[in-house]
Amino acid sequence: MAFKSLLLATGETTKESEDTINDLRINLIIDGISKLSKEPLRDLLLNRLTKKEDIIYRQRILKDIEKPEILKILSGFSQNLDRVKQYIELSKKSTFEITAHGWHLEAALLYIETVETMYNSLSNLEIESKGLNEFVDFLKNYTSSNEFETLKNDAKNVKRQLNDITFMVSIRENKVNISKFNNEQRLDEKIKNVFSKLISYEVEQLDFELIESHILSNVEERILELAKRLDPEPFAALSDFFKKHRDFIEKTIDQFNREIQFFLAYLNYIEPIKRSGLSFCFPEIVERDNEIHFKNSFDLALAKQLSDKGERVVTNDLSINNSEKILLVTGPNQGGKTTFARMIGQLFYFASLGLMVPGTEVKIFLCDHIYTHFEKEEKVQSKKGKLEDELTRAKSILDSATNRSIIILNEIFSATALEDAYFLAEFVIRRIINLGALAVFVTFMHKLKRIDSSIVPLTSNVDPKNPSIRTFKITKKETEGRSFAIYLAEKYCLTYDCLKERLKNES
Amino acid sequence: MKVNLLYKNKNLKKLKIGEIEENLLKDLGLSIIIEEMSKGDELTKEIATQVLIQPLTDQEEIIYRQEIVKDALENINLFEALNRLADDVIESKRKALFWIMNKKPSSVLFSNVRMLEILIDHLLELKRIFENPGRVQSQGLKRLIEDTNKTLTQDYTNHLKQLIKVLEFRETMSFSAKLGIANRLSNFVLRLKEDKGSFLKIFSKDRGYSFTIDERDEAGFRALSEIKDRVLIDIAKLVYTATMSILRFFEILKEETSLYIAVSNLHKTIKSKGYWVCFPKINNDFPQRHIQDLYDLSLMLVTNNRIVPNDLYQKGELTTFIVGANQGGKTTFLRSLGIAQIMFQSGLFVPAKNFSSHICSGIFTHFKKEEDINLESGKLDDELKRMDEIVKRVKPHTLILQNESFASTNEQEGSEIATQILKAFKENNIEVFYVTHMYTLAKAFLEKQGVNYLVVEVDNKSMRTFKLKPGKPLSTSFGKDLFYKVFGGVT
Repeated sequence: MAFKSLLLATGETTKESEDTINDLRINLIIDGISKLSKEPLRDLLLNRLTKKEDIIYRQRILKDIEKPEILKILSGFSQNLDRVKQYIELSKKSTFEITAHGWHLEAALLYIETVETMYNSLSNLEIESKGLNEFVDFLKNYTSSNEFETLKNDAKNVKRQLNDITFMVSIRENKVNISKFNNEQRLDEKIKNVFSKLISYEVEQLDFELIESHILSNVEERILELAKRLDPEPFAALSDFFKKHRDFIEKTIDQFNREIQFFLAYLNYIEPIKRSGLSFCFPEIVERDNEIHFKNSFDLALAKQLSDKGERVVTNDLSINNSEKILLVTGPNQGGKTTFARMIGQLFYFASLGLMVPGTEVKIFLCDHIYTHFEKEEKVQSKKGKLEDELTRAKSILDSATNRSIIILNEIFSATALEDAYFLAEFVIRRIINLGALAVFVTFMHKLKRIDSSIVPLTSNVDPKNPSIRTFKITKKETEGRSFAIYLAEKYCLTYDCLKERLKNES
Repeated sequence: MKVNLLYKNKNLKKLKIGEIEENLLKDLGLSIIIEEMSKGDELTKEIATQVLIQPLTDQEEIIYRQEIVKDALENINLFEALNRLADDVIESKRKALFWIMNKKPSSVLFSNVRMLEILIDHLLELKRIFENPGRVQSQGLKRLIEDTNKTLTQDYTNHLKQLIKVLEFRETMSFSAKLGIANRLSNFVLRLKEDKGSFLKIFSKDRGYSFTIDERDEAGFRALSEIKDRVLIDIAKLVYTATMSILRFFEILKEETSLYIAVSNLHKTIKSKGYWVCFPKINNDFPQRHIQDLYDLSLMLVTNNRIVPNDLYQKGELTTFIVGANQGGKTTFLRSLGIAQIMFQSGLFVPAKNFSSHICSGIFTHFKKEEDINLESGKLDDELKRMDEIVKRVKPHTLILQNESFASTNEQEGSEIATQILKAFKENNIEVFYVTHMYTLAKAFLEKQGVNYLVVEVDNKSMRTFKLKPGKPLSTSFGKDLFYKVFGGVT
């Protein structure tokens, strides 16, 4: 089979609403990933796959790419190809012939090396995915083609001739002389030997910021012209090469480079998060009726933000069987409830892009849509207006959701009188239960769990020793009290037991 | 060539003075001693402070410094001459207006070559001073003299002067070049082209091709000097590094000799006030101290009253409680021990007639803070926090001096916390001297091995002698005494 694409086996996709993308902070994640690539990735990241086989096609390719040895090869390839393109740009911009042809030759040399290196290293490795294997086959044919061989021989030959040139330059006041090189005695080594003896302290090194403009000065151009006059042949060969090999980049190589950006940018994006000790895994896509679960998962946007500051986000686990439909998340403020809800939405979203998701083990179904309803921090608006908006939004979600949908409700009806809020929330929950959709309901109304046995109560926890410290773990646990002085000593780990451990570790 | 007069093989690091160090300086009154040493000189003050907050933990380093201190006490003239020379260098650097940082290699080279010429003269002056140094017994000074003579041979200095002439580039500058990426000029190598001043020869027709930049072509001149800059970049860096390294040498010479001059100052003051010092001996057993007539040096410097000295015999006791009557000299004793231990481990003499001690891996103070007495609720928290910071840095053989620690809460709770901490310290070979009035705490260790009690001596008229003697804690403090003293003898 000839190589077609790394991204799409069949090609059907779907999108989520702007509200969902913003509420789940997926917009931040997409921005972050897009920034890591020169190719446009937004569209790819906004289009979710709808078929399990397409997801698996991408997952397999990503599993290959994620292997450190393959990742290294492909990142290197992609960086080098970017440089090849920069060189070509420089060649096009340059008005001085020796330079223009020079950049063109550099581009060709780097291209040849890049393609060969990639083929040589990939062909020695075990590759499992269909998509990548087809590409390696393509490389095999291309690198042994006549077209490629000629390009390679010509380029190396010209470069060798240019490398052999050495000449002398002498400057005195405003006069410059260029002459043949006669092995004149080196002055720099002598200076180095004598002066190094004076250096016995490590001092701040001087770094010159010489602005090496790619545009040559008139003086440098004149020197090069005279060097060409001293030794014309290599320059003639350079000019011939330029005419013979104007456009040398193969179009499949170009396409491949564009497509791997999707995977590379995502891997780059999650790399610092992984380094901070968090895990990602390939989600297993199961049927709607199966038990779903995740272990050590987290909010990707928050993890990214924290890992930039050198901190690590708290992870959470959850298993839900088929009879559990509504996750009712309650607990103290700032305890990680909203983050937990976002995380669940993100898991479903990124799983359907064929990417790895936060966690050590994730089992999830392919949802048709993710609906979110987050409390908006509205400007000046009457309570009535706000409630009306909330209800309208809730209705539109309930009208379009199916039993394959995810519904995430975050602190809705919180501005309403408590009695009304309970009444409305109960109504919404009953509708969701009837639909059979999976919902996450973040609320302060913990009594809602009494409505139905399919409601799973979850609580954001605090540190049992110090109720002011949030653990950001979403589970069920009670708190306990402590006496003041010992509690303080414990806070600094200065009780006997704690201190003993510390001192043991330090000695 | 390195100065290395403070350490055998490194320079004094300038540590950030954090809360722990500030407490140490203040709690022990080290700042008073530092003031006396530096006599208002800011640099000396900084160096003395840094030396005292970084006690040595290596026996050889301590001896290395002690030897140099002895040289300084005998032969201060040499140290003063070196200090003046270093001052001259620093002064010429300041005066060298041409020595303005410029980011271009050719001008950096030009200005540094000129600075280098000045520095070489000063190096030769250093060599001259060392021709007739006076008494030198320490290996540190001997090595510096030897290094100086070995580096600055006649031959070498001649060579150096010649090269400096070449680097002024009054004649033609020649270099070889190759073609680099995209045929840019690259791989510049500065070379000697036989010229013999006959500039016409190089630029004659049979020697390649030439061109001339028009006198009014400003861009052309700029481009030409850019090329020169690219050629000279490595050499400019090298010469800059050499210049800076020599300047650094003199800066360090200034700093390190300043310390020894300060030590000599302190010695003179102590003698003039009629007090004694001795050079300490190092004990290899831990913990073991034998100290006679130890006094609080910082107190001595600010008072005209005669101070009561104390003795300390310690053999194997990790935890020492200092208890007894208020204002009986407990804190003064704690301070005098801390000061002496720090001076000992800084390689200096100590304020005692006889002093031998083991080496501590660190010295910390945890003193009750007077100033935040009002913030009762936050005070225990603050005390624990300070202790936590200390614990982060303790190792076995660390010495912690505690003065009424954890007295900010009630005796029951304070003793509870302190007992737990002391127990863990003791089990981990961490040494503690603890001034306390908390009987509950002192009592808790009564039956334990390796615990010492020093008690304020009270003579038969209930008068404090300011002497501390081995004894046992009593259940009441002597606060009553003070009450009677202030309110009169009401019974």
